[in-house]
Amino acid sequence: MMAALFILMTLVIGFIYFGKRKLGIIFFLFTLVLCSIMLWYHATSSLQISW
Amino acid sequence: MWEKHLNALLVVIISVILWGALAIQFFYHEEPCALCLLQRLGMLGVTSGALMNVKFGPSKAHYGLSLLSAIFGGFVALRQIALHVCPDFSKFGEPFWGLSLYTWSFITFASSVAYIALLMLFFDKNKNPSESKIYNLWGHISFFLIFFVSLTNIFTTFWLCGFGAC
Repeated sequence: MMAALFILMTLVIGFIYFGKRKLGIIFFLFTLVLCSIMLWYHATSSLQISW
Repeated sequence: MWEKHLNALLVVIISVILWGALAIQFFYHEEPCALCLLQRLGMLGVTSGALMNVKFGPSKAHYGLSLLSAIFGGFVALRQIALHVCPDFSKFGEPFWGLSLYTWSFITFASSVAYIALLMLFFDKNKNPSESKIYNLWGHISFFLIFFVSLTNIFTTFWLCGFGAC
């Protein structure tokens, strides 16, 4: 899951390099929403004890 | 033109920070937690907006993306600071120059917001992003630095967390 977020962010950087601006922005926002969901998941799960 | 160079400089600085985090992970064997990884993603997000400024020309939308990411990353860093702020709680990882890595991360995000605000203040042009495909040397260096650190993070995160949420 976490690795998938890095894959998405790498794709965003790739889209920017190859000039796909709109696709980059869409993927960027999608990744940021997923990151927020991941933060919420970790904040509400018992995993936070190990931090 | 200067604005593009300064955006590329932001990308280079943050990619150096991310390479440093990877170096600490490998040489000092400090495995990153889930919040640390989210902070790395936030930093990559900040550089993505700056890279768009380098590639397509500066625009408010690109700065907006960088700021969104900086706010997200700063929020994650603040949460991690809050988790360890009590005196009896254990600290996560070894301090670096007297501060923990997540405190440095918060400083990075706060500095990014200030840097972007200064860029928007001093280069107040209402231009539409041009679809220029021309990349200068800075652009290439900043792109490859951030692309390879992002790529490395995919492998290290997969090695550390597998398919799980970490």
